[in-house]
Amino acid sequence: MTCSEIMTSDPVTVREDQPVAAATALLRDNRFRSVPVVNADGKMIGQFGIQALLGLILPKTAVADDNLSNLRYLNDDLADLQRRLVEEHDQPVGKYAEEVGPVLHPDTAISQVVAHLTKSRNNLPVVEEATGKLIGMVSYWDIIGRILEDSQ
Amino acid sequence: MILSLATTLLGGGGEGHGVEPLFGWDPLWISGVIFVLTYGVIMTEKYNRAVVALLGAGAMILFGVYPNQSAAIHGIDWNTIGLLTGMMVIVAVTQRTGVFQFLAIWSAKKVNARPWGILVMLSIVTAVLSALLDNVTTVLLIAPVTLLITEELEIAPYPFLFAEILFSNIGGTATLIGDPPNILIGSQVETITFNSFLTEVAPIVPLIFIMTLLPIYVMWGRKLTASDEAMARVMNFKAKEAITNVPLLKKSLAVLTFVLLGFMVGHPLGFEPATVAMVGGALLLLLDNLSRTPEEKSENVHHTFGEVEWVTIFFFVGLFVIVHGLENAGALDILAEKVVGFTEGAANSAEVTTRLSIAVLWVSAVASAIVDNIPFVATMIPTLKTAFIQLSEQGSVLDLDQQHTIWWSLSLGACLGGNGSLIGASANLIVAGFAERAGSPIRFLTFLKHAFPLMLFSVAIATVYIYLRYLI
Repeated sequence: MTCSEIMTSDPVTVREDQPVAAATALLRDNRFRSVPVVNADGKMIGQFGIQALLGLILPKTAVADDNLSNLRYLNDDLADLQRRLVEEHDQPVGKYAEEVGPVLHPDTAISQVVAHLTKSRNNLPVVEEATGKLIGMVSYWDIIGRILEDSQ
Repeated sequence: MILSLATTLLGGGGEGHGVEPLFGWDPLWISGVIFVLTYGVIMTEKYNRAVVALLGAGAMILFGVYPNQSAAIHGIDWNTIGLLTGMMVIVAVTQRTGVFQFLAIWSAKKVNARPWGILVMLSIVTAVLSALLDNVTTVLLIAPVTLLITEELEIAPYPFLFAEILFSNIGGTATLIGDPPNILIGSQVETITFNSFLTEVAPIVPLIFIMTLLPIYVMWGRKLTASDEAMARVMNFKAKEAITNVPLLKKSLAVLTFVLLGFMVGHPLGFEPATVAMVGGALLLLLDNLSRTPEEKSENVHHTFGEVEWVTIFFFVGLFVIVHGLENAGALDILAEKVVGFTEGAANSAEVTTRLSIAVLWVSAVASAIVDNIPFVATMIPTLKTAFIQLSEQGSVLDLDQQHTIWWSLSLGACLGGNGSLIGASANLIVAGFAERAGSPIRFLTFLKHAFPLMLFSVAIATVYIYLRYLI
């Protein structure tokens, strides 16, 4: 069995030139942990997830630098966190797209997919090898669901 | 031939097992080739400098430049190694208290978060900490907070980081422990002490500081502005919250005070800086672990030792063996002859001193902007010592004060020269790394364009100082 037989086709995506606000709304409304970011041709360029979103409500230096583990002196309140997020609202989400871990292809063997999922917290993207175009996503429920269905 | 290499590899390392130079080659040539190759590879910055230096040191032994391993180890200046390691341990423990972040935030608030005021205050903090600790640690801890403050002020961080690079090297020039070239000079020239640096080099540093700050003001300072709202955000910072461990801070400050006093009063009592720094480091480790369980103690000490910059320490070890090999083979005699040749025709020892000190100051400055100043100074010290001996053999005996003038020139040239380019000193690269990660990269040529003229300006001030104080 291969990846193409269990993946969810036509997944929800966000275009790289869409604003951060739109991607944030997508995460919030669907309770997604992350959403794939694609370009105008549908090629996957990364993902925008909850970690990236949380990073936007802190000073950039604090996120980039391990030496700033203590941030108590910032004395922030909710309004400060909100201000930082609002400042980024209109930025293109592609700016904050993060690298995706393992990328699957339609012909990736199912055992290999499971092996990747055991090490990943997110759903995994399935892309066409030649074009890099996103064609589906695989979640752990895609696999567990199928196994349970077949066993009943 | 091959026998000499085999002898060395198979146990010719101990004292008494003499090793002949490989293939009967002249040790002078072997050591020269190893030296040039090692320094050349270090300059490319393609390989870790400590690894290259250790390989070069190994080659000096394996190719028979040294008669045995003991002779090579004899070349390592353990005072420098002990001083560096001891101070690194003290800093590794102290930095966990958050005191450096506290100082940065406190100083920013002292000037009501006005951008130019913050730049001046952070420059002072950087210079003072660099004089008392080391430049790399100072910028490692101040640069991230600087980026945080400029981000909150919504202004470009470049002028601030530029100033911190310059003033870390300028501040480090003031003391024996402030910058590696000074540590080398202070450790290897027996008549120079911690206090000598305070009385002879430190007095010019405040003037260089001010004179360097003026062009920075003209270039950027007068145009630095931030909105009231942004300044209010920085004023909202709580500096005290930066301190994470008050008891440890008290212990660290007590030990630092003890160590600095030890540097000042230790020399007349016969205690070298390495002894003071290592005792201080061990004492702070003891105090830091008093209330921990044996397992926690072990883990904490292990963690602290892990923060020592072993790359720097092993780099020094390798360099010492290489330079001492060069010295043993007689190569530095030739280099010293060139130095002495430069004084030809000088009427007296005063004129020799004038020529040498000015030449050493400027050559060191330009060389240190292009290459790492540590290997440069490590080579210059034995070369100049040999030159002094050769000069005295020729009848131009330099007295101790005259020799010291040349050492101060070497210190000022090598330390200030580090400001000439982004690769001139380790601290420069550390700041550039932070800036890049924070999305405000410092370009090599941009920095060169701004920093090189300021470096020349500071060396010109140092030249006037050396001339007026020691040469007329």
